[in-house]
Amino acid sequence: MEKKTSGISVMDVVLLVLSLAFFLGVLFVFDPCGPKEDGGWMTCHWAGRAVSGVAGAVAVTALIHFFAGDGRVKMGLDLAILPMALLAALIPGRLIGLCMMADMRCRSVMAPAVTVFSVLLIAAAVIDLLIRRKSL
Amino acid sequence: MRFASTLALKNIKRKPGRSVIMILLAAFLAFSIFAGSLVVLSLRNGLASYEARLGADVVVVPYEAQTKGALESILLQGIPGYFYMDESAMEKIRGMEGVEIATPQFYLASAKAGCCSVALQLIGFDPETDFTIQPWIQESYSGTVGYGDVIVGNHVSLPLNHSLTFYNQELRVVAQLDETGTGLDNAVYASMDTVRDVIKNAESLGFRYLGKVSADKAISSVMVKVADGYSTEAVMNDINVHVRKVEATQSKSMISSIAAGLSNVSRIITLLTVMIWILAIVILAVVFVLIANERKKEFAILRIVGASRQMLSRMLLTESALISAVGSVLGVGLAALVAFPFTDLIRTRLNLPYLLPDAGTVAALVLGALLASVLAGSLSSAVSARKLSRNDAGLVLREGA
Amino acid sequence: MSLLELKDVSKIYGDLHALDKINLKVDTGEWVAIMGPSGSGKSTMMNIIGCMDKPTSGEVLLDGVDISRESAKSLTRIRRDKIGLIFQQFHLVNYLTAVENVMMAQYYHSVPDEKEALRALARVGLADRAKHLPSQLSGGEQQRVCIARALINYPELLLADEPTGNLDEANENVVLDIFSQLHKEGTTLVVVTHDPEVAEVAQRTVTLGHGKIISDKLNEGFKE
Repeated sequence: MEKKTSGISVMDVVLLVLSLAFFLGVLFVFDPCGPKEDGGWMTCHWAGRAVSGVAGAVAVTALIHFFAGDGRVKMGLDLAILPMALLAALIPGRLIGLCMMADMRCRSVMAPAVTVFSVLLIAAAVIDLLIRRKSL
Repeated sequence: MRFASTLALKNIKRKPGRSVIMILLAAFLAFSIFAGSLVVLSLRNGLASYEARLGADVVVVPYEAQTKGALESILLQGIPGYFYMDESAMEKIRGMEGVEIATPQFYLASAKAGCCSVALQLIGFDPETDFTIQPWIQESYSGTVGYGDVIVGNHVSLPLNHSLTFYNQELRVVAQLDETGTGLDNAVYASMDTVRDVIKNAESLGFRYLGKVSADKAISSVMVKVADGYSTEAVMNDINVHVRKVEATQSKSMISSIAAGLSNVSRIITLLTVMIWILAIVILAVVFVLIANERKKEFAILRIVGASRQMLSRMLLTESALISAVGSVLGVGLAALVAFPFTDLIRTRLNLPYLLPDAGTVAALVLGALLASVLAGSLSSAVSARKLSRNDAGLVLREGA
Repeated sequence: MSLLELKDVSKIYGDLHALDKINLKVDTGEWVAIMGPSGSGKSTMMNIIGCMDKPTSGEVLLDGVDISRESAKSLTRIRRDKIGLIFQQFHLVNYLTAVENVMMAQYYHSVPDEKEALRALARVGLADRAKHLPSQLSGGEQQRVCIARALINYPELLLADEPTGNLDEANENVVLDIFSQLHKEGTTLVVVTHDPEVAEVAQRTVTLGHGKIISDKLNEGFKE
């Protein structure tokens, strides 16, 4: 089977930038609530950790995608990003609980931001897939 | 029809950079108008909700410096607070002329260490006389609120039948209220008996909230409904003059300060949206003029081949409509992606009542925004389309030759 | 009745008489070459016959209809329906393929039909270059696409302005062969040229000079 070499496309950059922004964002920008008065952590803290883990995995996948030479490999990596992004979206509030009050940081800042990034990542991966499918 | 769309698509694809810019401009149009009107509508909806939930004509609180502010914080921002007075004030108010109903409310804030990681507001009401909270409860719960039952506001996530412990008093969640977009969403509600026992427990645990007032006689506020035919202002003044150590305010004035805040924000949003629209449309029009110049020769060829001026104008309009449509969908999609998940954040930042409109209104808004931006985008090409089709074909070709 | 008739047609620009009381008849099925040096008025005549310009005075009858009095809008329609135009410069839309360029002419006339367009390209020997862009075609091939496009709506009159002016000799011959073929099939051809060799292959040569017809004779060497 002929190996199709692909240069770096716009979507490669988009995926990489999005996933890095997601990963760094969960850690520093839209992080969950701080520690309790007694120093312990609330459940949302662990939700944030889990999301950052998944986001890290997505970022690594996007990095590999960026440097991959074969168009079909890139398509496979796009497919891999889809369930990961979905997982990230399901963690806050569904798989791991968040705080009780809606105005708490984890619910008003982190959860929506995770939703936004997940949607954007899924959209980007799907767009990349469709573009590459056409040129197959 | 297929050929026409093939032509339009070919033109859009051969200049991807330019097409992307035009799509982004259309997206800007759609984004700004959708997001802007969604926020303004949500603010108006929130204010209406605030007014409805306030319910009373006159609100009476203990006469201390911070009290009115504390009440507004409770109602608006959901910041827990408490203050107390003796219920004899309420008895006096009940006997006054023009007062149809006077019902007490009781506010208590939980200690952080108790049930929750943050202080939770507990609001008690009298099931016999209440006319503001119970109607709201009935919208989502048909049972009665018995002793030990608690109804949680929409922003408090607790499962039904969950047990909530306030100062060693166990309470049971029986229902959750619909959203109001105000601070009332952050509170939990129980009957007066329940709340009085809770505060007795608090006192026995060493928390001194009541001051000089006894637990059995303490209330935090009185909500007054003015009888028909009486002026609210007159009743308010009456209370202020005749009942000692209290302060009565018309709910109207509480609302008007918020309404002022709302119109400020509204005005800023409208201004921003108008500026964005003017800018985007101007840039789009300029781009279309550039396109028209670049395609002079092509259009001359098409005229020779037999295209009428109308057909050429229509071709350009089809292209611009297509680009505007794509951009508009993109813009509305992005706006929705930001505006809906971040509703709570927007509310806290604006510090105003904020309630998303119902699904039907939102759908209408989406359609309206799409239509408006597609129209605006298409029309910005209208001028250059006319100009282009008017060019003398033979002349252009000879110039080019 | 003649297909094309010019009666006392003049075109005056200020003091200049680009065309001075021209009288000309072209019958259906004729192949006429209009020759003359630059400034002789042949371009002006081309524009008037091709419905791109109107005479200052006189009548221009195309198929019995006086097109000198028509509005710009109906001139476009007449041009589209009855006349096929070919120019010296190959006026093709540069981002459309050969077949799409031919379909453009169909599109404005009635309905784009890819099969018909491909047939038209086959007539000029370009069936295998249908999906190529103009930039991928040689000069001769581009001109042939223009010919196919000019023919697609079965025009009554094929009007060519220096059709081989930008072509080398080999391609010139290819185009003239196509003209010959078309003439045999009954198409009326009017070819404007300054090149006597191009004029020679036509049935009849009309020579212009300073806006007037100097000579109008049948070409002896013409092969049916």
